[in-house]
Amino acid sequence: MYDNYRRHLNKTIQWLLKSNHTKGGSSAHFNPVNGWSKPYPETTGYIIPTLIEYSHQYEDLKAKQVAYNFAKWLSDIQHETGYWNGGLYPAKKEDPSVFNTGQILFGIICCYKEADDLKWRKSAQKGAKWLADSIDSEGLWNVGHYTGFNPTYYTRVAWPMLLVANATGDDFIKDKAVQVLDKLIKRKKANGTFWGWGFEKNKPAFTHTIAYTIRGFIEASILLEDWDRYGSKVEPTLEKLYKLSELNNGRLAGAYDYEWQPTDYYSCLTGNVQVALCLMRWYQLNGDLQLLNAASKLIEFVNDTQFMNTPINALNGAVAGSKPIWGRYMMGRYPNWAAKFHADALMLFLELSKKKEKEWSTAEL
Amino acid sequence: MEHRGIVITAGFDKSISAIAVAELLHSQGIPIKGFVVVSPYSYSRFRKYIKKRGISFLWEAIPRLIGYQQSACSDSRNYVEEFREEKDISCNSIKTWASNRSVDYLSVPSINDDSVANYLNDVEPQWLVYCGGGIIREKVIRTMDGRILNAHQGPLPEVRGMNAAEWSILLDKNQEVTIHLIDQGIDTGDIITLLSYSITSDDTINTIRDKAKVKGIEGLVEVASKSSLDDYNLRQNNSNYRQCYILSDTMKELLHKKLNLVQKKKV
Repeated sequence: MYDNYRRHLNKTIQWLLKSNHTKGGSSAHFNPVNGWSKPYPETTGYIIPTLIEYSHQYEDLKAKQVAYNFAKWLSDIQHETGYWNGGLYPAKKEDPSVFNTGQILFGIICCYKEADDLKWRKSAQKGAKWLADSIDSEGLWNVGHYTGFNPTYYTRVAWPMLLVANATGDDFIKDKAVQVLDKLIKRKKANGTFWGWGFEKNKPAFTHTIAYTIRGFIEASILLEDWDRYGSKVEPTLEKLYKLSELNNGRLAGAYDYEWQPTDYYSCLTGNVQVALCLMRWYQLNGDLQLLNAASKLIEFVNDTQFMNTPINALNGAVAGSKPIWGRYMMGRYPNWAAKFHADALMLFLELSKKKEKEWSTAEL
Repeated sequence: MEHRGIVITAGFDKSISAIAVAELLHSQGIPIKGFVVVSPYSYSRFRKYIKKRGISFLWEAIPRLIGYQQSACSDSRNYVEEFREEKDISCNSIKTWASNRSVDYLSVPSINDDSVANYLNDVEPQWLVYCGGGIIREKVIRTMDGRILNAHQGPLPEVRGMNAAEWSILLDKNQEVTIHLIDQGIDTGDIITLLSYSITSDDTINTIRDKAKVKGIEGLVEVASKSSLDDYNLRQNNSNYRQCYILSDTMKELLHKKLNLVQKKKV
């Protein structure tokens, strides 16, 4: 069963392993003209849990070893006060980044849980503490932004803060994360969109950051065991994304404005699979297989764009930023985070379908 | 009350359902006033479907357009063909059927074309029986004053939308066909009757769809042969259930697994 998904998963993971940069970390992207880019600490961080999950599911020790190497590199380049710089490595100047620090925490805390090694715990706690200390009384950060404001996708910073708080029992970090989430949930509009969920305040948001925003709320609610606090509030957004996915046969537009009007000439592939992940997480809570159907269409749309067997080795298994490749999102490039979310979506779908089969086989039908 | 006759819709000339409904009603003495057949050879129609369902839509559509609606699987029963044989239905073209009986045949680019509403206004049929042709919009619904019958391949209101026979299996619902009125929602019109059928150990997804199709034809004929719905306890539909859409390739694999388990448990 699902051989096609397994084939794609294997290719994507192999590509992620190829992205391993000689100087440490994972290259941000591959471009057929310029080749592999410099390493990207932010996405290197959140690729770690993907590789570790894969190593569990498929007993792949190489994937786990690469994940640990990534984490060690990240730990080595962490600033002594806890933050990580924004952008590619090496940074041209000191540039503490809220978002990048949050994303790196995913990897570090995952390694701590996996290896129970205190060095990871210390690194994660230091990073999360820096984030928590930087939050003002309004629940916002005054420093470390990518485009000069607190975007709503910072829910995806609060989420790893909660992961660290859960693993270390640090209530200060937890309270600060909740303060941020409480502030951001108020940005919801009547039609399910959120003010400021894109890279720019008043422009259409890529599905990439839309999914960042929603996933942050979903996971925070799950970690806090309080679905009503944020999760139920994003259900209208999830419902809208579900319908858009089905009505467009798995192809979401690259970006949507605050009225859900699409920028339709391209699709943001990473956003596609990130939305699939959101729908599958929702499915895990309500058991509606229709969500799984929509998620699989989103995944299959991306599968169909993936190179599986070309003479250019670095393209095999790569997932582009946009379809078509000249679309506005990461034009002409194959980002490592598109591969990461693609692998995550494939692994979660395979896990959920297997679980469903098991449930059916033991139930009275 | 006198029966004012029937107009039947179809998505293409070789629609087995439309021909069967016409033949069975005709044999009961119910006047068939005409057919509204949506021309499949419209560029905009192909473009719309390819955008919606992908290029694979063509591989499914072409065999239907040239008359092969059934599964190519030779080791499974063909319930639709058996039904046609049993009812002595041999005609394979609506055009031929209509021409042999001097019945109107309206070929239109869209079921919502102005010519359709105008034609229905002129003919004033008792029922417009829906056997395909796309989503019917407000103008045609208003013209018929709600007297449009549809056979839906799943139990309403729980399973509305596409691939309903398949979704009934996946969602653990009864295998039932619903005869209902068409309104402006997707499968949200009042429910007239539910007709059940069973899954047997030799069924495939295709034979289950065929069983549902036969049940739908029988249900449409039964209801359309009457001049009113007084014999039925009409139930209001409920659109609170999430609409079902076409199954993805991978969900079809999951469906096969579920079907096998259902069959094993029955044995």
